[in-house]
Amino acid sequence: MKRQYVIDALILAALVAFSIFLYHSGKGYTLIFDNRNITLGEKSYKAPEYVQVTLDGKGRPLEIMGGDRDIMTVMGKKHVLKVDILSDDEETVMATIERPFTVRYDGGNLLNIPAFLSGDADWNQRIELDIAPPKEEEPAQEAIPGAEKPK
Amino acid sequence: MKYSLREQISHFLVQYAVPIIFVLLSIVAIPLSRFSTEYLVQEMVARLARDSFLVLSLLIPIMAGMGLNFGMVLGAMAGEIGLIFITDWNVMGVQGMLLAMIISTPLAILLGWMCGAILNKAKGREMVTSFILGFFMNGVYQLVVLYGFGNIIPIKNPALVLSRGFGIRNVTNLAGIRHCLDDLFSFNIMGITIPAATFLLIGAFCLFITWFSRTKLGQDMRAVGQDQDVAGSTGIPVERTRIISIVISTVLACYGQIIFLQNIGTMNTYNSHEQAGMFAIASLLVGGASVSRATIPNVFLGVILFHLMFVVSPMAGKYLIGEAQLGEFFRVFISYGVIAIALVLYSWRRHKERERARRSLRGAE
Repeated sequence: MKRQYVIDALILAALVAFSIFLYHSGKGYTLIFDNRNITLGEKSYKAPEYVQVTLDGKGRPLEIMGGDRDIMTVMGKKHVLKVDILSDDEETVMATIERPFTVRYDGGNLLNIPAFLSGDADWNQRIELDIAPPKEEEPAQEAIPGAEKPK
Repeated sequence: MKYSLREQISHFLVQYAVPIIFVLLSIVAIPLSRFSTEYLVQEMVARLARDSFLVLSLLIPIMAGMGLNFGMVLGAMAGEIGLIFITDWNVMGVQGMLLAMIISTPLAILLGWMCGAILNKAKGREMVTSFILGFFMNGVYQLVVLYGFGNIIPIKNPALVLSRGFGIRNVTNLAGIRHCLDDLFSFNIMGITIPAATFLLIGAFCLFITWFSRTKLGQDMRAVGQDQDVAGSTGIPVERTRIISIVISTVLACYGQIIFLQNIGTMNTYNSHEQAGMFAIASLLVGGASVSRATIPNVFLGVILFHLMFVVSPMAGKYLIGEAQLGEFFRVFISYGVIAIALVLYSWRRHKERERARRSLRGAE
């Protein structure tokens, strides 16, 4: 009987541990890539004209002009960020910086590209996301093919 | 005693009346709908992946003689609660889906146990009892989700909570886990996308059911399903076995609902589970299953035939009558109509079988 309790407790503990692992590895974070001039303390960083941002070497790269921002949602905290600085004609890669990083904040994360390129430690800052409540949509149902065109 | 050809044909027609009706309806409706074969095959593959797990969860209670488990909506509700939590915590992908399953499992076990215990008090009237139990628990679910979430149970995500500060919105966006299982491993055959990971999971579930029916517990369930008194007198704990069958069905329905909703990508917070139960049961019956007998092929045949009618009937209605919206009414009409036909046929079939047995006894005298 006692042995059974121990086995049950071990199974429960393993499930809890697995759940914690799932939570941390599957947690989504919002990253805002900010390609704008920035001043951090006494240092100022100038934004490049045009960059391509790739995360973990997967997916289509984000293309961000100087003074612009783009947003991405990622799973998990640890990632590798690759930034390609492109020439004015947007075809030649002038420089590439690739570095692993850990997402710092649970809410929104503002990632400043010029600060990242210069290796500034404060390149990842918290940002409050202004999430507007969604409009009430139609109830979710299986698609009724009558409404759509046959292929 | 040998049966005449006419009797054999009549027996076959009675046995498979519902699938035969559906095959005939489909033969008429498919050309009318003007859908391409590729489109229909893609739709059927997608719907098989989406619905099969839910329908398979109905098999075990049938094995235990408890009929169609209308109480599967309890499992679906548990699954939805798990999904609300992972949406609030913003856990995405397969991890989110697995976490939702883990969170909702204890709830599904508790609800299944409660349902099984109540059904033990209503032996012989399991289906209607579980049907009403579904309505009752729907009220409890609405109370919890509409007033408990945000009040007692903390919810942080403003996109999830109603503007008054508590209660979950009508529609929960499951964008974080949308198609996470289907896209985990999929491939194309002649332009048809096959969500292989989902089918592997469904295949594993079929193997589990086959294996389970051969275990001691599975055999006990069969014995209980055939005759509870005889099973009881051979030392099988009848009530416990029945409760276990409902618990397993409820937990599997919970997983089935999560798989279903990851495919759909949005959740109708207060109604998704109602549809799940009705459509799953109707699909199984369309596949030729009865209240007392259902097999794995019944599940797949049922899902294909039932959803084929869903897909083709609106367009067939549009080209025939000029009104596509009729398809939606047809969809609901089919669900309830099939269940009613199957129940009537079941009683009729039992009456016929008793008559045949009586006649064969007379012939043997």
